Amino acid sequence: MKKITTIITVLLIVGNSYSQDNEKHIKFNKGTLKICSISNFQIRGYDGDEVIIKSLNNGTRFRYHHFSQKNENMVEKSQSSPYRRITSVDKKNELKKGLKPLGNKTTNSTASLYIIENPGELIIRDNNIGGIINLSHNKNKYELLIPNSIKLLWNTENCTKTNLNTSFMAINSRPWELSNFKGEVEISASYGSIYLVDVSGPVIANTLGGNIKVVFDNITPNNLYSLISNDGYIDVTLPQNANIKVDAIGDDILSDIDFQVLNETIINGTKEMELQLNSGKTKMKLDSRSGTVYLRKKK
Amino acid sequence: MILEKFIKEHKKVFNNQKMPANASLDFETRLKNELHNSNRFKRFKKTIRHISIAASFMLLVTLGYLYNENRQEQLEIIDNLVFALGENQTNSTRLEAIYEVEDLYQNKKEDEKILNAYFKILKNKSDSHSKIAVIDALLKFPDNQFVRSNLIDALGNEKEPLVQLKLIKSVAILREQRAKGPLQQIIENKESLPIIKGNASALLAMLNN
Repeated sequence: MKKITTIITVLLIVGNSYSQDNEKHIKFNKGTLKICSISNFQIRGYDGDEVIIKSLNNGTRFRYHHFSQKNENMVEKSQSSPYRRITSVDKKNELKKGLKPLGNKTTNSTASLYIIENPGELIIRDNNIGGIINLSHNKNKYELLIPNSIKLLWNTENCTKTNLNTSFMAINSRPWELSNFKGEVEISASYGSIYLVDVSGPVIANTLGGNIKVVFDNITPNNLYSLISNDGYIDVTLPQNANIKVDAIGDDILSDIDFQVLNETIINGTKEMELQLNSGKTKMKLDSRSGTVYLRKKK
Repeated sequence: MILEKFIKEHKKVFNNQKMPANASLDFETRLKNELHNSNRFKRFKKTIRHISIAASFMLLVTLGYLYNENRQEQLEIIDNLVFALGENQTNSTRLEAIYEVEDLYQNKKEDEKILNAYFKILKNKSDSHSKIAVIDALLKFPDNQFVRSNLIDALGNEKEPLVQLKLIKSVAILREQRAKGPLQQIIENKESLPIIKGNASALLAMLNN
């Protein structure tokens, strides 16, 4: 009996330390959550008061660096050229060519996030040495649960965006996903797609070279939505009873919804339309420039 | 005197026949009535005239009041919108205000206060969506020299790729020759994205032709 109790206690301790490695709880229910990371995040809103980060990297040890404001300068800063990093990643890939990993266990020493707490602000960022974007972060996947009471600023670069950083941004095949969130959102991506499900807004989202997909499944839009995709499409699924006024810009605008067409112009080969559904109370601005705007009826 | 003259001139018409006694009373009453009615009519006309003047005056006052009220309301709306366009607002509030101005001032003359608020947004570190919405709004006044100058200045200073693209397309619409300098800077800047450089080069070639 004594032996069983000891084994259970040991197992509990081991289990606890494992969950601490793969899951982080941070009390934060008021203010702005700023995510500056090229890692793939699947974010969900919930009615709680903690930000919960879970690593989805298989078999990965996951490290957190938790700074308070006074220690923020611990993040290294350097003026060195980012191209050095690119060369090293390319070289590494070349060395890997034709080879496959041996064994079943994997290591990933790069899975690492900095968490910085300031008054009214929580910042989650990649561990970028010297302020340079480390492309290997692109493979990292995390799940985040965030309180509905906060504001989300999500930048899929490192939040101190320079054109040098964005110019070599790796294309991530998985879109950045946000679902069931009731707070205010601002998302900026360079070469990636954004997927929003039941996000009540206000939402301001843009991507330079990706698509934006929005689905209103269990809610109707009641706050401002402003979406810009420079070189991709915008796809919005709406309930038929939504009260929205849509200003859409694209090379084409397609829909199966019975919109009232208020205005329609073509300027320099780009179509601009003002559409209204029911009372048109909520504004939705969709700008896909050279891409198509799809407006779908929720089935 | 005139009556006497009239009788003398028309002497033949008058005879010696006496007027019946009861007739004089009737005549006097009728005369009185006639005279009385004439006075009443004159007074009535006078009153109408006074009322008309008063009504016109009241109408003018009311119209003036309504105009002022409307103007005051307009100014208040503008002030509120300008406040909502300010730096202290959240990005979504500011953006909503820009869209509201766009809807309210469709096909109207530009307002100086709002234009200045727009120029401020373009110069400050505002979010990309606000800047893009402002550029769209400013493009409705292509003949305004301040608008054109501010768009060219913004092209020279802007670092955000999405906004840079919007500005390049705007300057292309305006066919603004003064944009050549900022475009050359963008092309020569190592930090400019290839997509931005490509668009800037195409526009520069168009302006040089």
